[in-house]
Amino acid sequence: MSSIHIEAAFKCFGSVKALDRVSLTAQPGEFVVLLGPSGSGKTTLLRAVAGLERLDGGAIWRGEELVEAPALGLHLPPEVRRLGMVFQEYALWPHLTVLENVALPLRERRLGSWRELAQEALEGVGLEALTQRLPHQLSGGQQQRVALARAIASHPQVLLFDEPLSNLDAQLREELRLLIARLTHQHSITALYITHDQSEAFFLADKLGVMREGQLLQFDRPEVVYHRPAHPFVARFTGAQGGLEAYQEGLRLHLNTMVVQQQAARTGRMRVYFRPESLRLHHQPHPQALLAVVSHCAYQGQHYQSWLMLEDATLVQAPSPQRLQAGERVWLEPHPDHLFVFAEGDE
Amino acid sequence: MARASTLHRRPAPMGAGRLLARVALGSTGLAAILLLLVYPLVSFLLLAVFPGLFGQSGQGFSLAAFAQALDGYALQSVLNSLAIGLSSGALAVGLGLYVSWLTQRTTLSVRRLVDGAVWLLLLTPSYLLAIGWLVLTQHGGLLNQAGLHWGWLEAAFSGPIGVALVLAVKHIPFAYLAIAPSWNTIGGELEEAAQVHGIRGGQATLLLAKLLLPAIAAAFAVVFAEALSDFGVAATLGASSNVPLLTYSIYRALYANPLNFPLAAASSWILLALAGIAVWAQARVNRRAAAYAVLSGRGRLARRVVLGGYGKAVAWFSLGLLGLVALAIPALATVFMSFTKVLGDGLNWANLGLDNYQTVLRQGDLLGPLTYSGMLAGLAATTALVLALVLASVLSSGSRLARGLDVVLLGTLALPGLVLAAGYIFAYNQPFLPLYGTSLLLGMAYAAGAMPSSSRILLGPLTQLHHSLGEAARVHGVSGLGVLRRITLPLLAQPLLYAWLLAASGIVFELPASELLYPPGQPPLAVALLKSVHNFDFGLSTALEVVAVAIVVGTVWLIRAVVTRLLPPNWQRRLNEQHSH
Repeated sequence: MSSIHIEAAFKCFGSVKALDRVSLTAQPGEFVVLLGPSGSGKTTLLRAVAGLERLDGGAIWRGEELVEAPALGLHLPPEVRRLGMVFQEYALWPHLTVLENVALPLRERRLGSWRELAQEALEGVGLEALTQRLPHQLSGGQQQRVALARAIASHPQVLLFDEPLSNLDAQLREELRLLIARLTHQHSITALYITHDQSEAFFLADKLGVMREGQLLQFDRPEVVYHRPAHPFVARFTGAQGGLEAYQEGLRLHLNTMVVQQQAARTGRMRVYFRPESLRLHHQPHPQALLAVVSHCAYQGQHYQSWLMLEDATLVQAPSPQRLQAGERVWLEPHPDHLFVFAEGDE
Repeated sequence: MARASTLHRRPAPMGAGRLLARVALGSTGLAAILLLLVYPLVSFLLLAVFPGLFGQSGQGFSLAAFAQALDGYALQSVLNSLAIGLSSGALAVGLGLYVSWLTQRTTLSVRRLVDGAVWLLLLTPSYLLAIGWLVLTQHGGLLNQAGLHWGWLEAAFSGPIGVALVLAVKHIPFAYLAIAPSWNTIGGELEEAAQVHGIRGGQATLLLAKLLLPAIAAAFAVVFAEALSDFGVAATLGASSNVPLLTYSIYRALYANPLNFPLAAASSWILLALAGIAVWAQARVNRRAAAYAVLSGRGRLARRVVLGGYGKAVAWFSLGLLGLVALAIPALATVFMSFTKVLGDGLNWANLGLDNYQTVLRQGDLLGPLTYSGMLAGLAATTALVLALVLASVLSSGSRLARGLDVVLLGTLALPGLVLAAGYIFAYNQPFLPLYGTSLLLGMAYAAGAMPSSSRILLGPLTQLHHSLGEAARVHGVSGLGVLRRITLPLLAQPLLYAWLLAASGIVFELPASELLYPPGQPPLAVALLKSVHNFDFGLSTALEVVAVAIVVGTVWLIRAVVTRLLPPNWQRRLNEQHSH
């Protein structure tokens, strides 16, 4: 097992800072997911770890071995970094069969048991019956399974995933992310996975990083990121809603008509976020709740989901046990312990 | 920090090799573009306003050449070209629209047949079609031989109608290829949406026609520009029927006594401007259309019109007629003429034989041009391909240099071969570059002509290699040599082979550069063919043409067969198969 350590990674494309001193460590066997919108720098970081992109500053270690350090003129080419990688566009070699695709890297490493290793990897992804097919004869999901088999066939200690499920439909995505989680844990692989899909990120991550404009805003266990977002953007990008204006004076937070006790004292204008499931719905006026008008209500299987317009025209979602009527007035009571409060200038 | 101790464990490998390779590729590509395209073109075109350039007789800045180009014979050629370009554009677009509707939107199963004919027509040089019609309709030609004296047909083909007709049918493939894909994009859900919302009949047709407009505009612009730039028909039908065309007037200015470079350059400017206006207008239509482009690629396939018995009969008849006019009649006329022993002895068994072929195969001065063209084509296509590979590598890198080169290459794709060749006469007939009249210069012009299209053919496969396939190999530990041997070469083998075959077979029959740049006493094939046509040696010229076409087609087939046998099977799997699924 091998770790990945990134220290103050810095990269510019012209005047755009793609990576702005990003540091993180993926411990051996840990599954690290980087979550962020396009242009946040996550792909650049992943490609730098693979050796496909050169950093302008900082350093990258694979285990104890330094693989990238621009200050020392060090850049190990991708082929000697001993990694596996699954690409967004699959990147299967179209002229090679499924077996040949998986076997090529093994044969290049002159492994005598290449055939057995390739077969074993293909069995692992459930494609042992399609070894002689060409990539174009497979569905998108099958192609990505081949790419996964190719990446794990040589039992790499580190595996990189470049938004591997973004071209697949919802059901396949679910199926494949389970396969990815199972295989990486089974082989004790250290994984670095990038995505813009928060449900995928929470599903897979042992550690989750949220990136924006080249900066790593938070890097922690997914539970911590979810319950204690360190930045308004992290809260929003992981599904929190609101952004309501509030004012804090010492320990007392004034939010509309509500007064909520806070743990840390500070004074000034604030922005308040909360998660849909932390809202309690009242049909009568409530002193610790916000007035809202039902805009739309939809049946979601286990519960109803309502879209509610607050007095300041902010639209929020909340679950309810029964169907609400459009135009109906309700009162939303956020759980005081689950409010995410950020100073106005934190953005 | 424990890791700090490892900082000096490994010597820093230099990225210098890769950087050096990139600089070498970039500068080779840039040098090729500058020497083969930019320098000859710019220096020649500048002559239109600086007639004294490089020690020519004129002085300073002058617009006299433009005044000359808009007067007399030259002006007549501009007007003729404009009228013929517009009419052949309209005709080709109409026919392309009709044929593409038949293949894309009806149940008539002619797609493969039409596609085959389209490519055949696309690859056939225009002067070969013109020669076919010439030997059929000229006074004393095949029709007269058969005792048919159809004055109206003879009159049509010795005037602008024949020129416009041949140019129109020659360029139907451009219209067809530009319009055909659009039929599918406007069908399916868009058509159903119109129906569901109660839009019917003429209104629905109008709605869909508006959506086809960008494709129609593109088709018209391309055909107009191509017809305007064509030299093959201008030098054959146009010249023999006294319909001066713009390209022929440029050629005449270069062979006038005294030679008039500034006039040729000014006429070239006019030619480029007229073609440029068409392309600009088309780009405007396209830009406006792009604003409402909502095509997702997930739309349902368009419903096809089921043709009844009568409809089928009309469709087959019209396609048959078009096939006859576009390909069969000129081809059959050429073959027939090549078997005619003596022109004037009538069309009878006694007057048919292999005499012309015997003469062609016996006489060195007829077979020589074919050998010479074949040899130069092989060398020039190889050079073009090497340069195209370099250029495509630079283009696929997406650098700033790549974007610049891309613009130049796209521009030269649309550049008339005659203007480039004219540039070569001037630019390489200087005391510091005395290459005019050598095979080297002719070969350079051939390579320059084939380079832009070859680089576009190779760009697709190379871009894919650059972006993910090569990277996937390297990340998984495949060495640089391994990537070349196992990924790059297998994937590029087929595009390289086809690009070479396309370039070489095009060069064998190339006309404008051959006509302007051939070394004294060493005419290439196209020049020899045209010379015998102008000398009314129809029998010999057509026999030489048939022999040349047979040898080129045979060689292409043989090379393909040999390569198919030699290459491992996975080198022959097509790269785009992955995407066609």
